Amino acid sequence: MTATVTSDRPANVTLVKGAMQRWSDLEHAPGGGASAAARTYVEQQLRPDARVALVGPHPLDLITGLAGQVAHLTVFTRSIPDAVLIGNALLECEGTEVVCGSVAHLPEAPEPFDLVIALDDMARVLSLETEVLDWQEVFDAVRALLADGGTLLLGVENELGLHRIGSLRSRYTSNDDATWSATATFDTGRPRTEAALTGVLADAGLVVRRLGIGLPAWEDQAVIATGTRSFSPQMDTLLAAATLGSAAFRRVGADPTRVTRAAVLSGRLPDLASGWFVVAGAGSGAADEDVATITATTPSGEVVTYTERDGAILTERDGVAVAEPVEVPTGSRLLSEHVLDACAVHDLPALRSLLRRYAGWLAGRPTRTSAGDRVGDIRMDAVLVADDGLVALDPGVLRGSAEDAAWEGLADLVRVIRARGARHPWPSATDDRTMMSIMGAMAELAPHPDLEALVGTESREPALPAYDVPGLLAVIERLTETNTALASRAQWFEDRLNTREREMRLRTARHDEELKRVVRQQELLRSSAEDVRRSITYRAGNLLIGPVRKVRDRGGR
Amino acid sequence: MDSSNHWYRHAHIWSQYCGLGFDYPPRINGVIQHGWTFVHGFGAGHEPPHGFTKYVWADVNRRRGQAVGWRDYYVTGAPMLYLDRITPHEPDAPEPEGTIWYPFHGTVDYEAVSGDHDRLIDEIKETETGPVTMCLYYVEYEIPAVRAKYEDAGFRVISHGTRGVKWTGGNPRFLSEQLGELRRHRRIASNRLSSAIFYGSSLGLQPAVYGDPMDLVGVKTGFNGTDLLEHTYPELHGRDIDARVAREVADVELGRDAMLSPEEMVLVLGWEQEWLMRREESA
Repeated sequence: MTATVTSDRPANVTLVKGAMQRWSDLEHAPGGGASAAARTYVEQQLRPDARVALVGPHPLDLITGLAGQVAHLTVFTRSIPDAVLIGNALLECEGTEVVCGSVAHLPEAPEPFDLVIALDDMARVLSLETEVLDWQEVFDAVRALLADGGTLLLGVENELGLHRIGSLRSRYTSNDDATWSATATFDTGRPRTEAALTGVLADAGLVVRRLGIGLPAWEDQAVIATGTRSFSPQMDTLLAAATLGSAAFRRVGADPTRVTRAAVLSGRLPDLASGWFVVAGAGSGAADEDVATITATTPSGEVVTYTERDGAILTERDGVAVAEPVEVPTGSRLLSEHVLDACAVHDLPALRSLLRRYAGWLAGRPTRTSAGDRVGDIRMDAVLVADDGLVALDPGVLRGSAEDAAWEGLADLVRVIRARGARHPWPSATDDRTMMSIMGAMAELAPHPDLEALVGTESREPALPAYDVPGLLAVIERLTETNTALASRAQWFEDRLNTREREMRLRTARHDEELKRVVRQQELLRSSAEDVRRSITYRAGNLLIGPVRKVRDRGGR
Repeated sequence: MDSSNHWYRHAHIWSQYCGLGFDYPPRINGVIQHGWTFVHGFGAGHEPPHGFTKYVWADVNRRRGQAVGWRDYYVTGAPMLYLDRITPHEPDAPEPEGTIWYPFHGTVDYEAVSGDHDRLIDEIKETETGPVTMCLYYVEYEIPAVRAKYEDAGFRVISHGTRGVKWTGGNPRFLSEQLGELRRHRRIASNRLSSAIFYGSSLGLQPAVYGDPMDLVGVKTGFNGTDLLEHTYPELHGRDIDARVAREVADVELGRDAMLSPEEMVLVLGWEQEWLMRREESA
C-alpha cells in the first residue's frame, strides 16, 4: 500500500479534485511514449515557444526531457505519488508545473495549450475519485485543454491489436488492482477502429494531420508507421521486417509464429496494430500529405526511419539521412522466414543452401576498420532474400570477422527457434550448442571455440505482458519432445546398464560356482588321500617297507 | 462479526429495515463502513479479514479499496440513509432553526485532537447568526473544562454519547438522536469534512466547513486529510457552501443511489434464514 504524506509534496504540485492518494501509475507501467520510436513523434511536434500539456502517465525521463525544450509544460496526473515524483524532478525547471487530479474536474479552465500530448490513451487519465466517466467524456476534457490552432498528439490502444489477441489473460475477466474501473474494456464510447477514431476527432473539430500505428505491442511500441494505406510492397516488407525483428519477439512465448506472421503474410499488419498515434490540429487546416513512413527502434536502441517518396525509400538513422536509398527487391522476403520455413519442413538441402549463401554473403561484406564505421544489423530478420542475392536492410560494416558475424546470426536464429517453439529438423534432444554447431557446419564455418558464450546470451528485456497461448504451447510441445527424447535416451542407457549388470552378476555367479566346484574337488582329493593314509594296507606296507628304505638309504650313502 | 458493526448500531438499523427488529441483529459475515472516509472505507488499523464482505457506503470506497489490493466490496449506501427512511418525521415538529456544530473529533482509543477551542468559538460566533448547538464527541463532552467553554459561549451543548466497545455499551440511539438533531436545525457546520456534514447535507441542511481544523495527534500515515480535502472537495469548504451542490456530493458519498431493498439487503448480509424463519413465525 502506498502511503502518502500529502504535506510533503513540492511547491510546483497543485492538488485538484480527483487526486488519487494511494495509486501510482508509473509503478505499474512506464506510460505512453516509452519507446524511442514514439519519442521521435513527440520531438517533431515541439516548438520552443509552445505551451505544452502532458496528460496521463508518461515516462519520467520523457517529461524531464520535454521541460527544457518548450516555453511551458504542465503535467496532468491523477496520482499523488506520481505528482510528487514528477514535481521533484521538475523543481529546477522553469515554466513547469504539475496538476494532480482529474482533468475533467479542474477548478478553472487553464490557459489553453499549443500542444497536448496524451500518448497513454484515456483509460489511465480517469481518476477513481470522481464519478466514472467513459472514454469520450475523458477525451472531451483533454480536448478542452487545446488552444485554437493547437495540436493534439494522441495515442489510442486498439482492442483488436495483436497484443490483445495474443494476450495470455483477458482484460475482460482480469480483476487486478488497476481494474477498479473497467473503462478500458467495457466502454462503448471507446473508438475501436481507425474510422471510429477519426470520427471522434472530426466531431471534436480536429483535423487529422498524421495517423500512425504502433507495433508490436501497446506496452512495447518499437515500431510506428504512418500512411500504411498507401504502402508499397517494399514498405510492407520493411514493416514486416521491423516488426518481426523487434526485441519483443525474442522472448519466450511471444507471438509471431502464429498471428503476427499470418498478419504479415496476409498484408494485414496495419489492421492489427496495437494502437493508433494521431497528430491532430484544432481549427481549420488541411490534413498533411499521407506520408508513408516507418519509425523503428532497433535492438541497439537506434531509431531508423524509412520514408517513401516518389518511389524511393529514404532512410534516416537517429535523425541523420543515409545517403543511399534502401533497396527492397520486389517480392523479396526476410531470410529468417526462408530459414524457419526450411527448418519446419525438414528441407535440409534448402537450409544448407540458405546458410551457405548467408555465410558467403557475410564474407563479402566490409569489416570495421575505424571506430567511426557504423556496424550494421546482420541478423536474419534484417536481411532480405532476393533472386540474385541477399540484401541488408541495415547495410553497415561487420563488427568483427565474417565468421564471427555468421555465428552471431546463427545464435540469434537459435534463440528465435527456441523462443517461438518453432519446428526444426534436429533430433529433439539436441541442445542449443549442438544445433548451432550443426548449422555452422551446414554453412561451412570453421568450428567456433566458445559457442556456449554465444547461445547463452539472453535478452534482458522485461517480460512482455502479452503472450500467445499457442506460441507458449508450441514451446511446451518442443520442450516435451526434448524431454521425451532425453528420457528415452536415459532409459536406453539404463537398460543397457541393467543388462550389463545382469551379465556381470551372472558371470560372477558362474565364477563362484566354478570356484566352489574346484574347491569341492580339491577337498575330495584331500579327503581321498587322507583315507589312503589311514588304511591298514597303507600302514602295513609302511611298516614293512620302512626298515627296507632305511637300509637302502644308509647303503646309498 | 465485527464489533464496529455495532458501534453506531448500523447492524441494528439494517435489521430493523429488514423487518428483523432493532435489538438483536443477526450476525453479519462482514464489516460495515462505520464513518465517512476519504480512503477505502475503513480506518487505520481496521483491515477487514480477507474473504469477508466489506459493506461500504459509496462506490468510490470500493474503487479505492481495489486500487490497494482489497476485494469483496458491496456498495450499500450509508445506514443513516436507511434510518432516515424508516424514521417518520414528527408531525408537530417546529420549523428547523439555527446551526448544529460538530467539532472534529479523534477517537479515545487511537487518536486525539489538539486545537484552540477559544479561537473556534470566536469563529463560530462571527459566522453563525442563529442559535448554535454544539455537539461534542463523548471524549470532549466528558471533559468539564471543554464543555464549559462552549456552554459559557452561550451554545447548547449536547453529545450523542459513546459508541461502545466489543459489542457492549454505547448509546443504542446514537444515530437516532443525531437524526433527530439534524432535523431540528437549518445549518450543519464543522471544522473538517466528516460524516455529520454529509449526513446533514444529504438531509437538506445548509452546510459549512470552517474554523481551525485541529490537528489529529497520532494519526496514521495516509489517514490524515489535512491539506488534501480542501483541494479534492473544494466545493464543500467555506462558510457559504452551495447547499444544492453539497447535497449532490453528499448523496454520492453516502451512496443514496446504491441503497438496497430489504429483500436484497437480507440476502447480501447473509440473513436469509433468519428472515425466512421470522416470516414463517409471523404467518
